[in-house]
Amino acid sequence: MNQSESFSEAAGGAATATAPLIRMEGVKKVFLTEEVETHALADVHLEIEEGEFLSIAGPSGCGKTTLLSILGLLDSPTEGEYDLDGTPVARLSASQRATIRNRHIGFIFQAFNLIGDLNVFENVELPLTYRDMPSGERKERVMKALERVGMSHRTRHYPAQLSGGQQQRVAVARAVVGDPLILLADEPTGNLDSTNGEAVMELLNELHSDGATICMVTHDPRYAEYAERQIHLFDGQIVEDRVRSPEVIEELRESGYEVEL
Amino acid sequence: MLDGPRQDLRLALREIRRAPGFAVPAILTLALGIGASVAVFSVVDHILFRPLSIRDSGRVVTICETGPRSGDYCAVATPNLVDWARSSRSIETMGAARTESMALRTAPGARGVSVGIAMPGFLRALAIAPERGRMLAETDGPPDGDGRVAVVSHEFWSRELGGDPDVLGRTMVLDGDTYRVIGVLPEGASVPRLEHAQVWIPLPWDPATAAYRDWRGFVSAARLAPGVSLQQARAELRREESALASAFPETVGGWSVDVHPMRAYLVRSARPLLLALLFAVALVLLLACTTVSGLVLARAVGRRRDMAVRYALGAGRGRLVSGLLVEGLVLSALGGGAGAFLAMWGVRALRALAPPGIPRLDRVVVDGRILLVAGLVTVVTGLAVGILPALRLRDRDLGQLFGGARGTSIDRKTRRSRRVLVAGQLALALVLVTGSGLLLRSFNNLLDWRPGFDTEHLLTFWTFASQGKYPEPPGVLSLYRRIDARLEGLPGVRSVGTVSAGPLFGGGDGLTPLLIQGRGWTRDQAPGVAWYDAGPDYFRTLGEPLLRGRTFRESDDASAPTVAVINRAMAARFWPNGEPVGATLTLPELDGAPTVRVVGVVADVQPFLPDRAIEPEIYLSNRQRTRWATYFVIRTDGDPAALAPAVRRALAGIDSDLEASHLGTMRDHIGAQLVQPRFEMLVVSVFAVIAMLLGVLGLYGLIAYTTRARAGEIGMRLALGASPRRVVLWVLGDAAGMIAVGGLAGIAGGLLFARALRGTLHGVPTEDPITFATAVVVLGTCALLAALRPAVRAARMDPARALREE
Repeated sequence: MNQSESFSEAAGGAATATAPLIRMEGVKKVFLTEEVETHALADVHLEIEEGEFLSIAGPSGCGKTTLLSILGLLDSPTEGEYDLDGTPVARLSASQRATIRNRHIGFIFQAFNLIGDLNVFENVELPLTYRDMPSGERKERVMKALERVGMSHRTRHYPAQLSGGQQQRVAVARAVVGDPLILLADEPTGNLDSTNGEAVMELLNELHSDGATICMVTHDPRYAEYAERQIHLFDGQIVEDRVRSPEVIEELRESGYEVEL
Repeated sequence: MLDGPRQDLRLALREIRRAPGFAVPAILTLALGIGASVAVFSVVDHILFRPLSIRDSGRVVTICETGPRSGDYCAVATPNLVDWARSSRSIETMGAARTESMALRTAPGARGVSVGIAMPGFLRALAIAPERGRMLAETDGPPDGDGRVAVVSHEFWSRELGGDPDVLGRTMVLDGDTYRVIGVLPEGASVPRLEHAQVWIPLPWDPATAAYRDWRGFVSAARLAPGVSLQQARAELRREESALASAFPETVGGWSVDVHPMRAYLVRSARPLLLALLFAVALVLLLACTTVSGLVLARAVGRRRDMAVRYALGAGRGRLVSGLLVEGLVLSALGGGAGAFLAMWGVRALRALAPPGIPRLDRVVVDGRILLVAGLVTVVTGLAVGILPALRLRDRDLGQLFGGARGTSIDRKTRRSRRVLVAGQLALALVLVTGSGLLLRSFNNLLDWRPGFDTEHLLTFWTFASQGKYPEPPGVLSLYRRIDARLEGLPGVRSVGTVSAGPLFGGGDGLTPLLIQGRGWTRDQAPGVAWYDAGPDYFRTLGEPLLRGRTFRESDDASAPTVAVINRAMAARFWPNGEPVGATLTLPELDGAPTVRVVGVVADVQPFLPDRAIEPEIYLSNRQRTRWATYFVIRTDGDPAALAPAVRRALAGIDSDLEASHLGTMRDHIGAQLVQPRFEMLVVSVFAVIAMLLGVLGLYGLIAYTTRARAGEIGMRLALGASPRRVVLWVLGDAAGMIAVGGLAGIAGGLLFARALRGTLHGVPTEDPITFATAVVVLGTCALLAALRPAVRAARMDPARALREE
């Protein structure tokens, strides 16, 4: 997933080889609505290394969505710095942000957000069409992504013809088809039953095993368990940041300890 | 598979296919707007904007002598024109002509044809080249004996002369005289101002005849010399006219001369009507655009989630905007295609419904130029339809994808945009509804015409006695008496009268100066009065009441003192407190400057147009001043139309060259007068109905959509104890706000539109409060009723469910 060259071009800067994949420094976000100031994020410091699987939790209104929006370049911080793969991205223009989103960020949404008027193939193909990629290459990539999520037999189906689990698998294929630097998942199991939820989490786990960097918002502790690092937000601040190595957890369990999640 | 614009196009087509509930009304609305505007534009373009189908038509002008009583009529006297032609340097060619009805002898009997009597320069100025033979030349007239020649129209040649290829040299009989055909005009050749002439003959007298210097009964055509401007020609002719006025103060003194481009002159009367129609149809198109914009905007709100997904996946704003614009263009292209067909049908309908007298209307077609304009209108419409939703795309909305947001609620700005749109739609609709209301009231006024006599059981026609056959007035009078007697003998005829001007019998043969003995007026101070000649039984037959004195008698003939009957308006104006009967008057500009004694006063005939004042009118006895043409008025016991064949037979029985022209009942004649106002009213009313439907549907759509989108809020209100009535009032209040804003803007626009319609309104002020109030009430009520349904539906909402769904 090393696309530093094209990324720096899009961001108009130079990447630093040793920097973490994501670095946020003193990020604040204030919303001004009808003369009322709402501090959604207050002084957030966060670093995410390449290949990490991170989960974000916190009560409603704590700033999870805002943080995800800023991480995904759908919004800009009011204050603070945000470097993606060593390149500052906090003050980019809308079109530069669009290019970075397209090439380096994959999104997975709670409500799947597949486009109803496009079939499965076209939904997955969509981010590639914004890159002016030749049609043959697009087709190859789309089919590979759909095979990866086990949906290559449904290319001509429309979202309404699929189950929720299938839709989310297609959404995952769409997120990974562009080979992004990071996957941002917002409650990816929130609209699924437990069987489908498990299946999607297994899929994310596989992607992570293959080297994907994943940042996931979830309320469900069962699914947070898949992440090796968990951060907790409260009132717009990170109040807890725990790194949990799966090997350590496994060792503790094998020794007869009850592991608290 | 999906590439940029191609992808946008494919997606737009697919989305339209997958959402027929949105696409079909949008396409139909655009088709209606584009079709109506293209149809009206094609008519306006052909009539107002296209050059005449004459070579170098920009140089063709018409010349008018204007004097104190010439009114709107643009005419010249031939001796003056001959003098101008002799000295003018700015005009290359000029000539004058008039048409007369002549009896063409055919095997089954005489048939009236319109004959153009022209100086050769008239047709030469129009640069019409003959299809066969030659045109009239100076050497052709004045005719005598066998020297009479004629040029015929292509249509006359086909119809009356069987399209004979050897027509040149063939003869025909007009008013008893034999004419030799020397030429045929090309097919479709139209002679401006005298389009109805089927045969052209030379002037049967020398155009320079001094006695005719004050006979301004000819229309003119002239061709400016190359490089000469209209102003130069006008200035030169005015100098010439001044010189003539000095030389001939009696006949040219007080007259001026003007020069108009022929095309502008031809369309001057149709221009206000056409511009008003263009304005009305532009409103309809604007309304269609705003309606579809509203639909697209509503749909865009529903599709905001899709937009946000595309945005998150890296589509820039430009790409999203181009997608919306492409969708607008696809919609308008489909609407434009359907609109082109509608336009072709619309043009046929306009041609069929339009009143006679609109020049070149028969040539209006939807051609390549119009389709090009339609294409432009379609593109502009498509952009207009797509631009508003595109403008409403905001980064903030596009970022709202997390937390399971479905993006179906509408924000305040979007709501405000749609409210402004709907208020605008209601305003546009109100403009057209008030316009239609004013025209409807005006039309009603015309329908309500009460002329002062019974319009039922009246049959009228016009006939013309050939001067060749009846060279002297006594012969003509004798002919009229024979016709009178024959018609009175027909079963079902109660009485028969004759009069010079018709067919509605209000308004005369033009104004003529009047001198009243004992008043000491000079000729310059003489007021103008409308004048007629009439027979003894005219007033009785028509049913025009006699107020004082007597009407004409058979004994009021050439050997008796000349007498006159006047109308009440004339008596009131000139003898407000005195006795007009017995007064002696002189009409100095009529042939022989007759001095007449007033013998009676009759009631006024109310003018057909209610805003026209009743003019003073004077009737002279046609037994004393006999002219070669007259209207016959027949009062019948039963259905007057049933008598028409017997009248035709009676006339043919007296003289086979006589024709009953314009034979019809009074109802027919009134109907003919109503064609134009009915056309204006119908077209604007159709537009108004479309506009009202679109406006009201726009409001319904918005209220229905808003209440759905705000279901959670309404559910919350209901949950907090709001009564259903309160919810209904709350929703209706929202609608009432838009109606009020739209109403105010619509009244302002309506006043402007009414001004444009001023020339076509009769008896209704442009700011008629009744019409405006009615229009506001009708539109407001319809709009509130449209809003009531979604309001009631909102009030019946299950609050628990609404809150759950939200």
